[in-house]
Amino acid sequence: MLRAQRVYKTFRPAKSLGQEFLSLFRKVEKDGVQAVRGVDLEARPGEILGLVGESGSGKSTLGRLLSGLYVPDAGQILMAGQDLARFSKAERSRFHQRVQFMFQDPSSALNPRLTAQATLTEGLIIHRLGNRAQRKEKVAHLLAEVGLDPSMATRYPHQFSGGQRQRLGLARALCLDPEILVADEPASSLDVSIQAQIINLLLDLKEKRGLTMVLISHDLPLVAHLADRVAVMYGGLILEIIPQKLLGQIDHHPYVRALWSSTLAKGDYVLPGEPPDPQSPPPGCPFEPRCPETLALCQESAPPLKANQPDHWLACHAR
Amino acid sequence: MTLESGPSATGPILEVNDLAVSFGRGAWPAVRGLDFRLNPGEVVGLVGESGSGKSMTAYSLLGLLPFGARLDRGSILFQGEDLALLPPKARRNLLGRRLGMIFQEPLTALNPVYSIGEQVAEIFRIRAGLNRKEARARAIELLGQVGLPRPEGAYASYPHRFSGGMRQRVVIAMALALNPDLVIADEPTTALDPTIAAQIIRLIQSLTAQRGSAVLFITHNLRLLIGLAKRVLVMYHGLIVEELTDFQDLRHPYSQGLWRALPPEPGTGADRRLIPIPGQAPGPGELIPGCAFAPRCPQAQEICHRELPLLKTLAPARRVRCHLSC
Repeated sequence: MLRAQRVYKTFRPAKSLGQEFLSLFRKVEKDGVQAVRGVDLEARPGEILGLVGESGSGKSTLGRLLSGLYVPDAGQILMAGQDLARFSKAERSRFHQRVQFMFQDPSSALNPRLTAQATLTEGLIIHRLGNRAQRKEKVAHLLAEVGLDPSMATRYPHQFSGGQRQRLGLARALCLDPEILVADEPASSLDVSIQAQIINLLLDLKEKRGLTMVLISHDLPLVAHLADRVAVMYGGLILEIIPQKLLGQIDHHPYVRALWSSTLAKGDYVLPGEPPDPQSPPPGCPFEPRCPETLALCQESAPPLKANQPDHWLACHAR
Repeated sequence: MTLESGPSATGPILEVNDLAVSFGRGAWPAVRGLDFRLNPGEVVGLVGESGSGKSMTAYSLLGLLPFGARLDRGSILFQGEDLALLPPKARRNLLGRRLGMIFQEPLTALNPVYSIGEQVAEIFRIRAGLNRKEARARAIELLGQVGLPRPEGAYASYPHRFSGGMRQRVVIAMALALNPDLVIADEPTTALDPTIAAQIIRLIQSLTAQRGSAVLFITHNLRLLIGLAKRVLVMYHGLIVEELTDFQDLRHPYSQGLWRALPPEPGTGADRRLIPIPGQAPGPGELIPGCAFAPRCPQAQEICHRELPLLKTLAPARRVRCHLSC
């Protein structure tokens, strides 16, 4: 349904005025942060696709690429087979209605000077949906849907608790009735007991609205529990795509195995080292410097993502 | 040597009695009467969600309460001495020497304008009275012990050059420099990625065990403490609601709820939906008659809304504050 095809994204620091001037005469290149380095991934209709990785792995960048918030440097984002880059203005507007992004930190993602009502109608006004009365009704309905009292419509973000703000963020993502919801760490800023409330709400709304969901998180146990398929990212690449049924049942990528054992408090294996520097990633497999089972080949080339079993994709020279 | 630690006690190293902390001269109680003890060399977990008072407990033990917070009552017997009655200067002298602290956010715990090495060496100079050369040598040795690659190079680097995990290693080095008898670790891995968090927990575990330091490990994640803490205190709304040693035997409905709200172990075939605790945690100023958890408790009875249950001792190291589950 929504697909990334060989996408790359590098963030370059802005040039200073002096460098800008020099670049008129010769090439001035600064090292960029290579956030996503050639990734293929598809969200299938009606599924929950988990996207797991540590900070700097590129998972949030990929999520933003998928939802059209960033433009890829190379490669395509395809919506139902059509290239997002070739969309007309009207088609692009339609795309943003169909694909919505839910931000990680609701306290910084919500405008502190807009009431809940104004926050939720902004999208409707931009897309010219409904008249004033209809929009008001829609807001009341949305608030009720995410478990907030419709009388809270006149409140400002700071008047909500963390959990309620996250609900408001979710209501905003849903106000255009999207088909695909990309949720970036929807519950990681919340306490455990509230986290479960938000996750259940997401699951309910997914059921009710028939949403396709891309769930981005650093929390492997949580995603493993919720998602139909889990894609694990590291150093800007996808290392493994695993159907939920096979999680923990098969010979995983060495990184996935380490992540699994470190997050489930079994503590049998602690991975040494740190993730690669995204400004100068290793030439071969990004995990090679920390990997317990490297081959000579691993330093030379990054392994391609290959189908291992039906639906199970793995990028490892040693497997 | 001046590096010896305090008198070696055979009793508890820390005994906290009826500790209460509030903001605004009692208007917003954060900690509302804690009783617990720590034995030498013991690792104890302190679990609670935001606003439960767990961090305020840590700060009051160290005498580092933020502006506006006040110790209302209670005693903090550390190796037999009541810290609450100690003059500030004597109290400050304990910090680093006999009491160590590992902070949650290593970036704010380190001074950005001094090199890593100077900050570590400072402890040896000021607290242990070593000269610059000796302090430098000790600091480099210690940076190596906490697993920094090329410790001489690290000595001269500044905090911003380091990743979160490496910064936390430096903070651990500073906390453990003088082999304190008690280390307080306030959410030391919350800001870190899972594989790095696992490294840091291992490091704290092995270094404190080597030194025989007791550890009060503060976290919001009950599951993290498995295999780490022998004994766990669970806090809710400024009070201890349960003390336990066996994670399989949770008695208080709040501890049970916290445990159940976590995603289940894979392969258990459980439903996708999680089991949340309804409602939200009360803020520090809220006054709740009876048991503070009663409004969210699935098993609450009439008495729970009326009377605050006592923290009943069921067995050694086993206490529960609940009308129903005793």
